Amino acid sequence: MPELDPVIHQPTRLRIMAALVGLDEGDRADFIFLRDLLGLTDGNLSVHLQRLEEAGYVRVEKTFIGRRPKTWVWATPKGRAAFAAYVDALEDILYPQER
Amino acid sequence: MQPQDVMDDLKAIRQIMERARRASDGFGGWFMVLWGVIWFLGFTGTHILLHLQQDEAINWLWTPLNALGVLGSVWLGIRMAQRARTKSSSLWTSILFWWLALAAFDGVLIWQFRLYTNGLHMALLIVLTIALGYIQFGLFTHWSISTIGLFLGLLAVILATWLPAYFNLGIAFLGGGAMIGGGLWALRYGG
Repeated sequence: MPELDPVIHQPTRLRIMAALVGLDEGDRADFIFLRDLLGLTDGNLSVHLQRLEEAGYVRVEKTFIGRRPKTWVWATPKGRAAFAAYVDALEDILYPQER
Repeated sequence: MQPQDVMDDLKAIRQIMERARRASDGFGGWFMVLWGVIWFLGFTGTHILLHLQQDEAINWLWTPLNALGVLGSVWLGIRMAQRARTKSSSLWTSILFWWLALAAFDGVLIWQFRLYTNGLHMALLIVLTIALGYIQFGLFTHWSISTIGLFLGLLAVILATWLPAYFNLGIAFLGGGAMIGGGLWALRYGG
């Protein structure tokens, strides 16, 4: 059985990565946009983003628009590659003969 | 992991990726719905006013409708930029200026060639310019937008050439309808 990346394997982190990789390369998602899309709480999303950032899979940038804080999140090339490898590993489990 | 769990995971991944893509870029559909409704109201109103021989009132109809369209587009653009910084959302100011440039270009042509003396020619020029705008915009974003642009252009030429008495009504129902339908399609399937 192929090895599954433990960072991405966690269900919430898998959904976060899927959402970020779903955007085009170079595109960024707003924290609120991501939270609403995935139906997570602020705290839950923050914790998992921190874990993904530590692994180098996402980047988080905090800025201000006027006086309002804004947090942008995007998948790094390393994160995109790890996600693609994870999906490949899942497909290997499903169709071992074809690979 | 059991094969069923893997299949569920892969399905969930695909659904989230699709939802993220659609949610970030789906605003293009709202722009088309907004302008489709404006066209429907504006061209239907123009047809009725021409029948009532109230030509002067046509400007009074289009001025607030266009203002509503521009303000609505700006509002949608701001909302889009706030939600996800995607290729289309970061380009919305450029897109807005591009449409304004096309409008200015039309303005110069209407003034220089005195097209304001012929309502049909003026409307045809405006519809063709917008159709061209859609075709060009679609080349950089999604083929469905180019298809709608092509349809609008052909429709305008056919109506102006063979059915000029029904030009406004045709553009209202078929043109506006295509924009509303195309916009709803883009919102549903991504575009």
